[in-house]
Amino acid sequence: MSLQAKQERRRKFAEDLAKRQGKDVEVIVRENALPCLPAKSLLKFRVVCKDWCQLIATPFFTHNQSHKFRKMSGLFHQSQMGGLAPAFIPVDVAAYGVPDPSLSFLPVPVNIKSSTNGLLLCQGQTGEKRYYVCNPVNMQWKVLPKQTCDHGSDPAVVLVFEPSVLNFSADYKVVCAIASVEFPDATEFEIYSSEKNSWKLSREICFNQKVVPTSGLYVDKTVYWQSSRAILAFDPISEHAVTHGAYASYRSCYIEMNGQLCYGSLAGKKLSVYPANLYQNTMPMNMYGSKPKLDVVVDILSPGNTSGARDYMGNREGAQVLPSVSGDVLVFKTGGTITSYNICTKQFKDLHKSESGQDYFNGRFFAYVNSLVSVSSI
Amino acid sequence: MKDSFNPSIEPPKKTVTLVSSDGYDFEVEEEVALESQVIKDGFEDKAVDDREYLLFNVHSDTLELIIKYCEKHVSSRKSISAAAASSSSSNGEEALKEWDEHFISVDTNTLYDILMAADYLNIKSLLDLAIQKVADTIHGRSPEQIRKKFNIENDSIIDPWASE
Repeated sequence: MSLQAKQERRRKFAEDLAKRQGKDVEVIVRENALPCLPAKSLLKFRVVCKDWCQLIATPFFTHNQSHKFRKMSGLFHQSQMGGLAPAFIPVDVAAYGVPDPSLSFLPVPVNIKSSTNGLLLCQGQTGEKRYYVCNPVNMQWKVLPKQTCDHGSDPAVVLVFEPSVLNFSADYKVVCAIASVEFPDATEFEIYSSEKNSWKLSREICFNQKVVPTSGLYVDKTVYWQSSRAILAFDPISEHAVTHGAYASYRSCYIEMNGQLCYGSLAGKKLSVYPANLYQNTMPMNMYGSKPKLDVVVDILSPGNTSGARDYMGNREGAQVLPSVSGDVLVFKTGGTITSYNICTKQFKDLHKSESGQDYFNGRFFAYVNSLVSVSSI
Repeated sequence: MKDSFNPSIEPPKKTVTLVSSDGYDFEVEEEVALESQVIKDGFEDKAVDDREYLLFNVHSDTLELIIKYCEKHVSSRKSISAAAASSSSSNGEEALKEWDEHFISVDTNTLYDILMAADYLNIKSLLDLAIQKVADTIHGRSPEQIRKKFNIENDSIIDPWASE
């Protein structure tokens, strides 16, 4: 490069930096912050102005939001008694919500079976007991073709959905752990793929493992189930299953924190969360040695917190940690009261309090992310 | 000049001068200034003796915060990689995350000043941090509050009552 050309470039850069106008804050917020907002806020913000309304309606924005917004938004509750519709308990009622939490937009009454990154997997309560995948925000749904194997009365079924920049068509899988017909006490896997729109029995088989049907959870590209003495981990892409010796203690709950499988438990006055450490006996997972520590121990009777005066453990009946995702918020239930704990602000908040003292929410809970992701019906 | 008998003495660090919109000079180390992609892009083309950057859109109050953020990130990156090299476990990343959280817990006007400066200077990690904080502050607001906050004219085609 000649000296003259260099000087020219220098002069141009100095000019550029001087001319570089600061963008309007509205433009920066519209371009960057909107995709980080939950679905309820966005549906509300459609009336802000024409530009915002048009932007929020575009398929690219929907896709962008589904992989940028991953926060714990609330819990879906599925009663185990027949006839009761699902209910939604938001972590923050102003920001997170769905128009029809009872899922009555589906053609038949359903039970929720799994919730992953904004999508719900449900099963019809009667008749053929077909599976439905839906997004309760836009009320789009798809009925899956009939499975080829017997999934049993309480299927151990998990929805696998990974929003990413590349997954533009929002493809998902459904994995069901089923009892083997040929081998007693063995587990096999039937997998539905939305790309192929068909079920297929995997070649993988796990001997001497029976999974707890309600324990299934999808965390970081892997499906986990609690089995009688171990954790069964299944990779839905390679279709390999591995059992890990570590297992959760009685009454503890699997939760997802920053992409890791963790246990949450309530013992005495302490709410504790610690990583499942499935790979503790093998090589470190990354070259930097140990992963960041995730242990969280919260004294739920701590006098420092805002509502510390109240005794959360007053009613020890049914005290349990409830599922959560993303690691910002933990949720626990004592008696008829459901309380959230924000890890950053260290604040407690009651999400639901039973007036009559009766506990309506005694079924299964699913952590939910308020996503705009669309469900293609093809 | 490097002291060949005592290699532990480092050569003096190179610095650059950042000039805020209200005319204050800030002398910072070169690597701190290079956290900004905009400065980095034009750095090679600048003359060796010309180490002054006029930042017409950043007020000195904001610039001070931005420099504080960049200095912290440069120094923590060094200590984290040093800890990784000696294979000792560290909670450097976690501590930095906590520091970030504390750093961005400011009043809304300061937050939007930081947001605009991070966008102007193109400091990716700071922009992401500020964006997440803005998202957290506005997600529970009403459309009317949003219009007021960002000076948006109401030209909505949707009947506001229809969506409620």
